[in-house]
Amino acid sequence: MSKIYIAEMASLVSFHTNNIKKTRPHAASDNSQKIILKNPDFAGLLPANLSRRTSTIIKRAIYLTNQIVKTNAPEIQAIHIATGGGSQDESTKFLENFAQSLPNAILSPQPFFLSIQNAIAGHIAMFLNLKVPNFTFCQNNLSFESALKYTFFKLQNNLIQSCLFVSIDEFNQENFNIMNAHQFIKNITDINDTFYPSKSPGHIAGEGGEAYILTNQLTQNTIAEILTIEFKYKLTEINIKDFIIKELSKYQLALKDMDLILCGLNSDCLYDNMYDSVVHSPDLDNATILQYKSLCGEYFTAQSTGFYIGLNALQTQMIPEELVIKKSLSPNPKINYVLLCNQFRGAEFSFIVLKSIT
Amino acid sequence: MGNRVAVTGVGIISSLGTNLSHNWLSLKNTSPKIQPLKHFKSNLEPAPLVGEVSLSNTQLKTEFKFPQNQEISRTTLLALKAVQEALDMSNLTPYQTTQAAFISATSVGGMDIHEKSLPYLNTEVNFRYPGSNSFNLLDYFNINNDLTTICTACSSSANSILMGYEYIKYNQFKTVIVGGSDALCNFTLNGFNALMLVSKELCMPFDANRTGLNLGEGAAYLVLESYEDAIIQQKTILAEIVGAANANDAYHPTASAPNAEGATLSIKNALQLAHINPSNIDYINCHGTATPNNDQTEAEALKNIFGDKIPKFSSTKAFTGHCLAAAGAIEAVFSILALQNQVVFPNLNFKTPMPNLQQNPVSTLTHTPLQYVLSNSYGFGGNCTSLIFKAAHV
Repeated sequence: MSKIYIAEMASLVSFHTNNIKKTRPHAASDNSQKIILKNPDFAGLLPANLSRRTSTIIKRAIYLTNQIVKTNAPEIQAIHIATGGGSQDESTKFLENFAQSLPNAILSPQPFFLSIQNAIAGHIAMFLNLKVPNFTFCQNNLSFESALKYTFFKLQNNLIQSCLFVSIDEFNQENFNIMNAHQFIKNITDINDTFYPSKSPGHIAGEGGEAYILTNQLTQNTIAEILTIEFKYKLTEINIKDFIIKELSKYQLALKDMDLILCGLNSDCLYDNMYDSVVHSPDLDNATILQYKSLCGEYFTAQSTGFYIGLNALQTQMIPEELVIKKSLSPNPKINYVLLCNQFRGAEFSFIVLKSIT
Repeated sequence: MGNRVAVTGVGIISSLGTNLSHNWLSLKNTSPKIQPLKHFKSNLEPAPLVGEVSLSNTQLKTEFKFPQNQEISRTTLLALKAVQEALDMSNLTPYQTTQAAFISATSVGGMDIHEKSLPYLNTEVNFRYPGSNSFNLLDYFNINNDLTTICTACSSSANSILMGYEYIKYNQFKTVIVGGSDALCNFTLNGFNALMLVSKELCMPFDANRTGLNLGEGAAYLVLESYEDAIIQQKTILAEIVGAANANDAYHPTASAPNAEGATLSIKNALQLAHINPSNIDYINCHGTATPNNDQTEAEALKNIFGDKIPKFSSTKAFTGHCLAAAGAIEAVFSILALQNQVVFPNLNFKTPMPNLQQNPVSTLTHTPLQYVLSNSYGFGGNCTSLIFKAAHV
């Protein structure tokens, strides 16, 4: 079985911190119930006619791809896309178009075909002129994880040697309205509460995107190793910690081996306590624990942003201070192992372990 | 080489019938079911010709003991029916079911519910998202292992089968449930109408005068296990999957490449994985949507691979309509039926040969020895998938 490495990475989210390598200066928080990304400069990215005919999320995905597909990057043998909703805004546009039109009206097909989830992969394939296999994974809050696990499997078994992996979702007002109506979104009057520990229910909506090149070859540019990825729709264990301990033991690892933990805390007091068994574990006294959704909000593929932060920490051996919710008691901890864990409203559990290559 | 991959259970619901035997009878008796849409009102007039499942949501909810006032998408209801049949046929124990990996496919998910709920506030959260359909199925069947939902448009469920094939072949899981489901809804009816791909007549795959597709709905699921495990458990092996490959045209968001590069690559790579030559293929269940672009491209791909010796081929979409994300799995089941019964299903409504294709599709039910069947599925975004099935008795 081959080991799996991250060779390249890019994210749309920038982090307002001196401690983490800055990526792209395009994130903007409007300090309300949602965190919306500022778009990067798409000028010159695509031919004008194609640029006009495509969606924002596709441009973002191509922008990210362009950041990491360099001349010295591994040859791409597959394209895997993780997205819970794809081009949601185009889907909304098409719904509104036919709902508001007269019978047999001639509608523009553009928002329809852009709303198809694998339009992102199709456009990336066109952009790179790559005929390689491509798959799009849409499993709500397990989209990133299930796509990553399949990619891991393919690389581990040498079915491919490298994969362009894009994880992306966009904020959509229609989805936000539904979630708000169901009180999934934090009330506007509670927005200024402390992110963690939170005293109010609901999360802050968000969006984001990352691109990675995963390979089974160790190179000079390798950022880190992905040791494992596991997920469950529903936990059979008593709590997240037990789930993690059981899975770690398969790799002869224990919680105390972890140096940095990224929890998917999203400031929803009704569900953030799911992480209590991890956050308050004495086994993790020498680990630093971070949250990251104060930067990107909650969305289907949000854990990809945590994944990116974890990779940055492994690469730079620096931790973004403002994300810390519990500091390591160790004086000069080296970051060898990073553990990410996530859940959404008491289901869709996942955990990932990253390992330093040094 | 890896494990041999056995199909030990299949379930299907389409306009041809609500289970495997009904589908088989309709195919055998050449009884297509393409009729004017009746289960809901669309804003297209006259009502488009579609391959609609006969059972209403009310009937499906009753069968699965859901309260009538519970909102549950037709995509999920159709999937429930097909998964249940596949599980029953495979005789999975409750433990095997719980531990099975589940790879589903859909393009519209619960859009049928979502589009009726303007201004979108009186609906359950996440109905529109494809993954919700899989969660519903996991809940109902008490499955709690790996899962995902593949969304590559009309090749989605073929890709779910491809993934399951790989998972079994390389020993990732003991049991994988694969397939897909899509219900008719206004979103897709209007979408394909806007693309001007819908025929006002019965579709005519591979006919020179074809005018487009008829949409359909349905679901099909397959239970995959290793051949060795199936033998040990004394299960009936319905067929083997011996090759599965995906490639991309990288040409256009919706149209396929005129040189059929993606379609050719996917067949070529599937043959390579199956360790067989083109001449070993006995029948091709084509994607054959009856759109001018698709059939032209697929014909090119067949010529690229098989030259002037194209095996018997047909599209079954004139029976069922194009069931979008479910099409690949439905046609996988038809491919297995073809192998089991040593029969090639007819390509209905074919009259006039395409000028660039020397060989015509099979137009009548034809009994013939079959060992290997190739099934093609293509999706928007240049997504091309080919699956190769082998008869279990050979």
